[in-house]
Amino acid sequence: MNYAKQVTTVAVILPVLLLSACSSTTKTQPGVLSNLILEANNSHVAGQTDTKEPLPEYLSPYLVENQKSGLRDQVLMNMKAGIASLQQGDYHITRRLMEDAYTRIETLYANNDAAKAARTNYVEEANKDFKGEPYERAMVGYYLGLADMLSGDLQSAKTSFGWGEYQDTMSASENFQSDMSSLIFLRGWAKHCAGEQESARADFTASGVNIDASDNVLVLIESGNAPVKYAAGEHGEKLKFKAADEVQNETWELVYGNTSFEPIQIEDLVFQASTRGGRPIDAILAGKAKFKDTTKSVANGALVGALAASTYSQSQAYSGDYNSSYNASMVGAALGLVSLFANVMSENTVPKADTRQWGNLPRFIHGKTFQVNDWQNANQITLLGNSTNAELYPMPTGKCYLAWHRVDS
Amino acid sequence: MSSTDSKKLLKNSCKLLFLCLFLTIKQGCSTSIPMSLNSVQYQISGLSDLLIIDNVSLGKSAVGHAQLNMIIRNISEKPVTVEVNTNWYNKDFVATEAPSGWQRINLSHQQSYVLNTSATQLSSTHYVVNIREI
Amino acid sequence: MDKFLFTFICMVTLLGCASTKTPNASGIETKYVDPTLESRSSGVGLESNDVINMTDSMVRSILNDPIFVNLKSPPRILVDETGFTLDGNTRINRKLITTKLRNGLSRAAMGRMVFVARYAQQAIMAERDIKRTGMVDRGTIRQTEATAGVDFKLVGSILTTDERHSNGLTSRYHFINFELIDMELGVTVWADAYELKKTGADDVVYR
Repeated sequence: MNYAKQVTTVAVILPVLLLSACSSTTKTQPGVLSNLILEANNSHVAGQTDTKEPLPEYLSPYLVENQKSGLRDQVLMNMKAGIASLQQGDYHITRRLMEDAYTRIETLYANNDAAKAARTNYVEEANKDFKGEPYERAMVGYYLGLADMLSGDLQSAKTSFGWGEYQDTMSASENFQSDMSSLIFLRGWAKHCAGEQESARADFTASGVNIDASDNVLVLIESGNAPVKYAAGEHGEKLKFKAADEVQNETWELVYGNTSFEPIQIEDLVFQASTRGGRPIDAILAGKAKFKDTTKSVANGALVGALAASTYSQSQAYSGDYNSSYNASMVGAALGLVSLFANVMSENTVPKADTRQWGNLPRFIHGKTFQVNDWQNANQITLLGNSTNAELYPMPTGKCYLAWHRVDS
Repeated sequence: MSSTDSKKLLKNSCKLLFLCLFLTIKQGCSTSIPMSLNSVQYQISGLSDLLIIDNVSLGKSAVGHAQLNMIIRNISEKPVTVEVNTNWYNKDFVATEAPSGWQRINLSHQQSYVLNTSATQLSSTHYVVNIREI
Repeated sequence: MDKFLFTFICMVTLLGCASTKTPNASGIETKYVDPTLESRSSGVGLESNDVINMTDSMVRSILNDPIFVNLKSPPRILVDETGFTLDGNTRINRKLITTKLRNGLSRAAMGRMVFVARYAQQAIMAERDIKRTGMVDRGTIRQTEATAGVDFKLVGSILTTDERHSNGLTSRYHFINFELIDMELGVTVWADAYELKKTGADDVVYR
């Protein structure tokens, strides 16, 4: 085969091989959200809450999404569906979903193909199975702890809150490590309700939120919109966080009987998200972005060279120097190939940061504890705010009570 | 000796030789080593080249149950991680209680570990220790 | 020149391309596995082999403690999760640990100690009531004035501490403490612990 034919063969076959070999995502396995919900309902003790159907209608959107996205987004679906379940009073479903999320986050992904692929140039970071940023993992601990308390398991609630607080310490470069005081406070509250007063006091002190030893009711109010993740930088390789457009930071008033209380803000998730510090993957994404730019430059340079060689070849042919013309045309063809491949590589390089996010998180969490001696005549608390009023019905959690409310945003 | 006798002698010698050869080959081909009481069994054959067992003693605990002490030493050049469990028997090789759990031992080069384990029944008088590599 | 070009293009192609191998694409058939073996896909928390080893170790420790041998009659022991606390980052079913321990002790003790079934107290009281009202007969074994009081109760805790290292390694140390408390005098008569430390690193995309 002569040289021209060889070059032509390479020019046709290799791009085809290149494009077919370089997929944008690896395949994932089917999601298990429906299994988890059924497990939760099957093992749920009758009479605690009214769950009318094995797969509640309000969870349908998450089930549909889980069928499409599979295990890659399993933790994310568990997170979102878990909050939806808690809003409907199905805390046993919340517990099962958050427990599964906890297990998946705890699993160390060593030698995982999807994670490895996500580090390579031609596969985006979002190829990896979702585990969430530290503030999202911490909130798994938060909701799991709440569900544990509502299920009467205060020991597990302590572990859940403590584990959530530990997730917040992920970034080595973060200046605000171990600053999720809401979770330290809640761990103290769980200990207080379990009768572990000494240990509870240590947590309250560490969190900066102190209570009276006789307090037996905790009210938690969630409001605002989740932090927004977005990809910044020329190629979207930088993961950044910002507050959602609509920010509601209201002041609240709780009325119980003839007494009113003012809850205090115990958490701001935008603060937690934006003080995360750098991620080790950021260096890899920066490398991918540089590779993309470099191969683009090579492609452009090679194209210029190919055009110049082609022009020279033509001029030599006109002047009768066919040998030089032939050589120049071969050089031009080779440079043209290099330009083609470099361009394909550049186009297929995906440095974009993973912006999958737990979109139905709140921004603010307010809390208040107080004492109630007799629930018989007043087992409800009224919540008054600028934009909303609501009636809250505390539920027993060990020797305490918990009222949780999400303000619609 | 007559030629008939010589032939008989030769025939018998060949039979004897063949028998010996057969027994030798059969012995050599056998891969299973019978388990004996108060022994250490390696679940992978190469482990016995990496570890030695020393100072084995079988005594009694404070309540009179059999108590086994032994030193397991890594004589290889590389770290070795193994798991060890103990099965207890009576003198007739009948199991007298459930096997113990698998205890993990990490041994760096030339490091020793003292295994100390007790039975839970008075009828447990003999042991077999199993070692498996992780 | 052509061989060099061909080789160069192939090398660059292979360098850039990702593996699209799908883990267990066709699934894995369900099969029984040995619960005493370490699971390969795990984190730094407790696994089945840890629970099995821990409870076996405690059974042997209890049955070899002389304090239970010299008593006039088999002591009554309460082993349940009510006195078992979690004080760490490992989420585990406490009832699994205490039930496995009670089960192992009961089988190995063979009557040298007896176990109070306080978890069934409601059912026991209901049965005693209907026997005494005559709704059912007295049964075939003796009647007693009261149900069994507890001589010794198991208490314990799972304590953990976590470490993060600059090279991406995370480790968790577990100290699982078990004690038997004299429920009359209020002292600890037996104590032992099981400890382990696990370490591992998540893929860098998760750190």
